[in-house]
Amino acid sequence: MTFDTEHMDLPSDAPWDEKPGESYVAQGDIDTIPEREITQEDLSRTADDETNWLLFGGAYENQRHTPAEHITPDNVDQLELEWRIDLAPPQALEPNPSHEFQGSPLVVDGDPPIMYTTVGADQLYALNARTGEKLWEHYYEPAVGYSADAPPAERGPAVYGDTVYKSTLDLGVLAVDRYTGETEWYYNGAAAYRGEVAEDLMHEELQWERERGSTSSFPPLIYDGTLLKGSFGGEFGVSGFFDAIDLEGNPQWRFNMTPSAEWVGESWRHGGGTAWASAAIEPESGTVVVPASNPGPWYGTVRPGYNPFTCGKVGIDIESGEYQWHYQDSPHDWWDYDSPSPPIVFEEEADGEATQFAAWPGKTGWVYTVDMATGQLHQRSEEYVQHVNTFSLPPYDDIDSAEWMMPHLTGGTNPQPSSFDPNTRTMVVKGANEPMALSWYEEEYEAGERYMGMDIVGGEPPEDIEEPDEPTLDAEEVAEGEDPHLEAEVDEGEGDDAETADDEATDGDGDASGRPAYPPEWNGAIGVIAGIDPYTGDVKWQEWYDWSNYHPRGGSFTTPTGLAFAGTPNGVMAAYDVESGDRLAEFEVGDHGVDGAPMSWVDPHEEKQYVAMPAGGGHHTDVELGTTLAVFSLEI
Amino acid sequence: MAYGTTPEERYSYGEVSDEDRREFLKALGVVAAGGVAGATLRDLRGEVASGATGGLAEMGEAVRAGLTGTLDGALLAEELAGLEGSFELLPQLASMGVPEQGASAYQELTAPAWTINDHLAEVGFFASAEEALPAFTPDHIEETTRQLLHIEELPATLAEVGFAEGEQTALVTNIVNSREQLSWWMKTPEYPPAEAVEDGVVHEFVAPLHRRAAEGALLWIDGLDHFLWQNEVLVTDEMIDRGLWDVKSMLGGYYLLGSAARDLAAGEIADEQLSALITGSTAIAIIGQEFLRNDVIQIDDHMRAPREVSH
Repeated sequence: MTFDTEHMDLPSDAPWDEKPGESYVAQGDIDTIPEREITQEDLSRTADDETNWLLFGGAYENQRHTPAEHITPDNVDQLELEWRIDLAPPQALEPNPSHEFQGSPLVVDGDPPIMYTTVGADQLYALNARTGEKLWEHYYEPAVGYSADAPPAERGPAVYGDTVYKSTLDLGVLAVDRYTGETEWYYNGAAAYRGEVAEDLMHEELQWERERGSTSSFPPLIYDGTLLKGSFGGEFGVSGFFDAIDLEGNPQWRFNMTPSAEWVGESWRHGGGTAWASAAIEPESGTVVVPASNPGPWYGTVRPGYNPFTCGKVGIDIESGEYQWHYQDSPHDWWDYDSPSPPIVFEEEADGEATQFAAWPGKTGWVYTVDMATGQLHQRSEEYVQHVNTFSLPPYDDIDSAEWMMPHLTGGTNPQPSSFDPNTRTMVVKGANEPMALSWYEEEYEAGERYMGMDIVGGEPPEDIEEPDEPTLDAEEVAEGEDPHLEAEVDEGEGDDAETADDEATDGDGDASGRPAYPPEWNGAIGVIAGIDPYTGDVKWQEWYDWSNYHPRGGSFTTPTGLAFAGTPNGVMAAYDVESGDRLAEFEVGDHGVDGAPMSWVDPHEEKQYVAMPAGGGHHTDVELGTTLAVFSLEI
Repeated sequence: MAYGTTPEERYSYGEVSDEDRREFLKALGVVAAGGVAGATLRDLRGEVASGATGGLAEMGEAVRAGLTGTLDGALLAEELAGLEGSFELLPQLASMGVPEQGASAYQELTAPAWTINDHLAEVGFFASAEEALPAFTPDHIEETTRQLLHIEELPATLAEVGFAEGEQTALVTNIVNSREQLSWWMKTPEYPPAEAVEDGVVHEFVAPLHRRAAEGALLWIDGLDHFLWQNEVLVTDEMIDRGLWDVKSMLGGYYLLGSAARDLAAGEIADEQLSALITGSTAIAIIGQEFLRNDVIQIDDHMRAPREVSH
């Protein structure tokens, strides 16, 4: 079987540069923002420059490993809170629709350093990284609308030159002046679909109300004059694509993530395989490693075969858009075991030669490590979450007879970005550890409607586990002394109630089925943070979270001094010994899940190393959601 | 649930156990007192009545009438001869184990079948089959199986391509013993119920049942060179052995389908046998790919090769 490159047509008469939504900009003290043109060289060496963090993953290799060596195991407990704000949405969006805050800020070095960050839905901020003062905010009101009950998560922006870029819920890219917040251009990714020009500004099959679980605002990735941008909508029958755009917003190529020759009939047309999460780049070869989501619909009998490139990763040559390799965590998937977690790239000597590897944790609950040159699997790790009846097929239209299985459709690891410490060869991975039962039913495809065909129930927690701890902070403390709002005239957004996959997962009536409340093999832990050697596959350590928490979301970063920082589901950021998993210190962040991905920078003018922890999602039991951004520091 | 989510319970890898034969006969209404019938198709034929064939004959006639093009008997015969050669290559695949990077040994097995497939699609064979034949209802599976057992030439046809007597039996018993999962493979208009479809949108992208099964089998086989090479660190000899049986089954199903089409082109097949062979071969192709998925593709920690750690 040959996996040939299949590019989708990019009709020149499509409205590629027309913005379907509306932008609203509010400015504060924008004169504070120093001029600093970011070059390709700056991006390429950000992993070696402790004064900035210019890429989502801290480097093209996504290792989320700061070069700063000032925070050590000996002084980590001396970090102090520098500032904390509630990045609530613009005033017109009140009340706070409680977004999932799963992103990672960027920091551009300067005096002062400027932080660029996003929060849902489609809100982009420039902040003084020393103080948290908002310098401007850009709110893009997407034409598709979004659910207030299950608002989409935001994962951060990208920067290059004098511009900051943001993926939008309309499937576009917004290029914004870094100094003013004003729009420079818009790339309309929904202007055409499968080569067909949209009748209106957006193709009808790419329109539905955006919500958590069906959308993504992972940042674009900029490399050597090309901006790389994925797609989303695997639960809405979208056939996935991955775009290359030039830095003026013109489409260059669109890679089909469901190559038609490898699918039966026309099933590829609604085959999923969207590319909604952040990719990694191996700079030496110029290959981008793209995460791919589930096939559609979820039941497999209408789409026989492997269903490439769903549920795995695809290596694509950035310059040409040519296929290099792909690996599927779950070929011909039935369980939503897709592979959104951003991959990392690392080098290791194998068979006497320095070899580049890509590694990622899957929803399947293992870390996959493949040779970057070929895509061949080098190692699949030990399990870091539990496996029960894994890969057993769901029965047809009979949820009561469905057996428990693990991992849950939320993972293993969903979009949580991992970090890597090259010194100890430790990958820090977060995962869910819940049981689920599935049953499938036939589903018709209709543009803009869910296209899944699966009933889902979740397990009930074991009774002999203690009640949850109280939250560590309340919301008033978080917002203390801070009016986070700048003046902005924004039309009030509206959103209908919408059920998410996660909501559905808790709707099942386990009592009626005769099935026990949970599988006997389940250890009662809802999730885990683990340290894993991706080369050998050894699980070095695991820190489990009991059922009273939601499973740990968000990411982590590592330091050259042997530390890993990560948010937890219960309101704190923890610092770990990266080799042993010992918790060395913890820091109160908010009264909700700490679901962002932390990062770090050094401000040489202030002589401090900073750690930023975006925190939201609020999955701690019975606690309000939140949009907290907390920054800690240590004098150096 | 005859099949449910524990597929390995009733599936036969080329050798049918007494218990599985007993289950098979029981499903066809034959309750054995004491010993169970012998293990060949002829043995089972002696136990199972052919049943009424009127319905199958009408369906076969409708398949024939529904063709939109002319079957090319010469092409089909030539490609079937090529397909016979594919079966001869299977022992080499067993000794090859995990393919080298860039190998195409599995892919080469299917080249003749793809030609047959394209031709059948072109003359409207699959569309006609879906129109004329029911999906895998219990009655249709039972009638088909009875008819298959009473096709005099079936054992010889399968023997031509290397199916030993026990393996011939396994192909047929697996149809009945896997009937639950077969029922999941619906006719295209049943995804979803026809009355719910607007603008025929579903039919635009879901291939007809029999084409889905046939092409799906070929896609699965084609991908094995890449899959096994790529996942070498997970793959065991047992997985390859079981996978080869699944591959042989799928090719066997395709051979029966192509043979029925060839005989139809020549006007040398009874209508009830045409129906039974289309349904039976499709079932075999489906079962083969479902078990390939289970045996080789979706690898849990119990199946995988031991993890080798090199520090």
